[in-house]
Amino acid sequence: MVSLITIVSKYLILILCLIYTLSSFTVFLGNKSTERITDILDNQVWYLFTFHFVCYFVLFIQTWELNVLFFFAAQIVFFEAIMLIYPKIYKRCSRKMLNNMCFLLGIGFIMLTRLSFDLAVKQFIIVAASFLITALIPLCIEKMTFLNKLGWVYAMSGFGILLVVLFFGSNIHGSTNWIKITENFYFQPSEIVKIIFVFFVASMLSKAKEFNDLIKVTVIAALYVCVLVVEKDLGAALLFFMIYMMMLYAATAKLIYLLAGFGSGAIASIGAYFIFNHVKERVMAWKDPFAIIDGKGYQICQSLFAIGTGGWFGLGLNQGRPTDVPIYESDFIFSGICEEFGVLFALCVILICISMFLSIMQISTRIKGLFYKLLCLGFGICYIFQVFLNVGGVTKFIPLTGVTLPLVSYGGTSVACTMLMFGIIQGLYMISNRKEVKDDGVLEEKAER
Amino acid sequence: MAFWKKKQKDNPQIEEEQFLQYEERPERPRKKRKKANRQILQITYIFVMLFLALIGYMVKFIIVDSSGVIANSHNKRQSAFAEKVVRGRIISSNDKVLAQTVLDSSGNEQRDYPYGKMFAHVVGFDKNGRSGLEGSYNYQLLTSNANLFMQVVNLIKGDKNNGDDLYTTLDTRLQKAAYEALGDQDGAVIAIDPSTGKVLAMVSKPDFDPNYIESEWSRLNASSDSVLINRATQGLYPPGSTFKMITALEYIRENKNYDDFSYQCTSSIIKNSNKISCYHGTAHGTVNLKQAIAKSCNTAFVELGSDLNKGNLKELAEDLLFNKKIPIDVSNKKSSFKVTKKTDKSLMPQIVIGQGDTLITPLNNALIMCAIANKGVIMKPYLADHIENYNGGTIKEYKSTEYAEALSSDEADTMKEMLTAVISDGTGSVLKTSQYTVAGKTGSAEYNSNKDSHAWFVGMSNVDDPDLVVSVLVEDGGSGGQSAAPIAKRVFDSYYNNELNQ
Repeated sequence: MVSLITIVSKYLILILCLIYTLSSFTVFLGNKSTERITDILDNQVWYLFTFHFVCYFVLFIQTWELNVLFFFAAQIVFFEAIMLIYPKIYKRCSRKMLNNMCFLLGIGFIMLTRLSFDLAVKQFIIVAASFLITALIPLCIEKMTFLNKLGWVYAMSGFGILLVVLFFGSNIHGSTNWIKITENFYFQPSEIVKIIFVFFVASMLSKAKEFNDLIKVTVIAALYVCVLVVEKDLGAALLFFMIYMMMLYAATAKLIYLLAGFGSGAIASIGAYFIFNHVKERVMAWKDPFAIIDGKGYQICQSLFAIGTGGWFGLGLNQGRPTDVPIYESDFIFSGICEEFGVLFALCVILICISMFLSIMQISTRIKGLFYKLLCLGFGICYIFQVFLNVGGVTKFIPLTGVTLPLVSYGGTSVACTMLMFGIIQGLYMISNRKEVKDDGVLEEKAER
Repeated sequence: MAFWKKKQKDNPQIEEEQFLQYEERPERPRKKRKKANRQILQITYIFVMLFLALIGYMVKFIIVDSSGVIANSHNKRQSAFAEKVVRGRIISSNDKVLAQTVLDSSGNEQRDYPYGKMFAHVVGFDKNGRSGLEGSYNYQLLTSNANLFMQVVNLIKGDKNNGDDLYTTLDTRLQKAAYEALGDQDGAVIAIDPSTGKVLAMVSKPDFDPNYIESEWSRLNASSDSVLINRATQGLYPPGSTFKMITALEYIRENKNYDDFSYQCTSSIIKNSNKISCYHGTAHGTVNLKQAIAKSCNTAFVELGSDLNKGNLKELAEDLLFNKKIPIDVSNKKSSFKVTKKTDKSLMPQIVIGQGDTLITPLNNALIMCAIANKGVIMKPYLADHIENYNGGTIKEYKSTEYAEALSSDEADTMKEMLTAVISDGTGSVLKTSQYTVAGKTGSAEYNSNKDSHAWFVGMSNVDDPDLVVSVLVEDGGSGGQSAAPIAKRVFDSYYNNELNQ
């Protein structure tokens, strides 16, 4: 009977997720009245809670662990706080981003509960704590108008943190990007540096007057990337590079910079391929993982087995073997989602991430002031490119780079910094929202599109 | 709440301040800001495209690539399936069961192979790491596509579902003929339909009984004659005179007037400081190219072949699948042809008659004959015809596909005509029959310095519109014409006596 429920629930979960995904795009379409949009967003909350309930129901009847129920209740309280109370306090916040964030967090909690209950609880505590802190961020962002003047402060502090990691960091999963605080508490500073980096680039570029200024920013940004490559944190190096290129292009509107940047990036990657052995290994494992399945290709092969075996509809919660894949709780959580929820569901997850990205880009186009625009753009790229590196890596679309799936993967620093980032974006949205009402220029722009 | 409202009142002031900041700068007018919006939109499109590519890739992975990937023996999920599904059957093209799961006296599942040793290598076994079709179609056999109602009923009752059945291209009558013809000699026989690539028979000896694989495992593994090796696809042997087909093809390519070739065979020749003799020291007298192939005259081939363009010869050999991984559902090895442009010419006299360090699998030799039979085109050899669910509905059909265009149609036909002389007027005369026509090539491949040789025969039947290609290798069989050709004849006989050409 339990297995029957598991199978039926599999399709129910997929349908709920499909409806939710659809609604996360319909909010963008056409000129909808505010009431209509509120309706859609209210419905989303219901889809989310139903989805969440069905998953935990299945997990509960499979284990009959009361702890699962308590944990479920705690999450309900938490999600209600985010989706229902937060918008009451911040009247102008972006509810569609809040809903998407909760959906992704929810998928992460469900998957982690299924993989390892202890990790799930740990993750939940970190998420809840970061949410309480980041809830204050929008207030600060609106108030602190001097944020765009601190370019050099950001540059130095971010780089300083990176250097500390370089000299005192511990090596986990092949990258020296962790700082050990206690025996089982590690902190990944490159996550927070991402946010500082975006602030640094945004403030420097928004103030850049001449070519020399651009060179200064570019050199500093290049130094960041180099340190990350030396730390063997390839994913972060690529991410920083991409963030910088996109922000530079948006600030200068010069296609030639973009082409030159990607050209030199390509040359640097080819150089890195020949100089660094770990880069070569990653590329080899990407080209033909099955030839070296007992060595460097093991991870990606296991991931492909999981995704392939799951097929379109998945094996059902608790029916697969996602723990066969190494680092299943963080870097490879997407493979586990594919295996048990199915690839259709996983595609919905990707689409929700894209919907989130579109919301951020929408804010970036609507907000006034180049600094805010660039800030918002930088965070948007930071978010979506991480998703791309992670999903592309575990599906063998691109070589593995060791990046987590934001909000879904287990990882305290990662999820806390992502929450912080979304807190800032919410703050920016509130600024843009306030302006939109008053500034005719923005309305004009809307009509243009 | 009150705090928040107060902040809102303050806001217009802040906003004005910021606005001023941007207005103050002449180089950042309103127009510039709008420009940034255009770049942001472009960037958004770029990333959306990137994700569309990723999604497209994932969809392709699931539809096209995933079935091959998950069948990998490293995928441990397969053993978990066995707890929920009764392994499906493997069935021959003439509807005989080659492998099935039955319950033994104490109610445990047991894999049963009704034909015992006959299909040992190609069907393989499900224990001790799996081999053959049992290994490569493990996933399909352990997947149930039985009708949904039945699955639900089983689910509620807690019964296992029935896995899907694999229908192979193998024919038990042809397999039996090949198996019995090889008798107690070691070696391999393969029969392929050259126009489709269907493998109709695949025999390897020495053999074992897969029904007792577990109890015999340690003995089989320890045996010195590699019983578990499928010699048809994994056995590497010197090609001997069968390689003359390739030498002749290259000669035809390089010499338009190949018909004018003539050589006086006096039973031995010294070329590039190598002395080569004909088999059993026979002097063949004056031979042209066709007669040289028919009589398998070593000296004539050393004369015409030793100075061929080495680079082109290598290219031709590789077109005919040397040094290539052949895509077939059972484990196989690459044939090896080591000639390069730099190969010393003193080695060439041995190489062009198939000695030296060239090695070939019986499968590869069969596919070379397929290329000649099928106007130069090699069809992908395959063993799985289709998958059926427990209720008899077809789940997946494996279609015949072109694998390589190795020769031109003219070259194939020229070669075919020359190879008929091998039967009518040469070393393969044992295959002369009124029932069907045959073209082929014999070979006696020396494998040690005592002149002991493996016997080869590769050939096709019904030369005008070839029905079947057979490749036979008998280890230490001596002369190809005497020990390998008769085995091929029994396979062809069985094919036509059972009217498989209908």
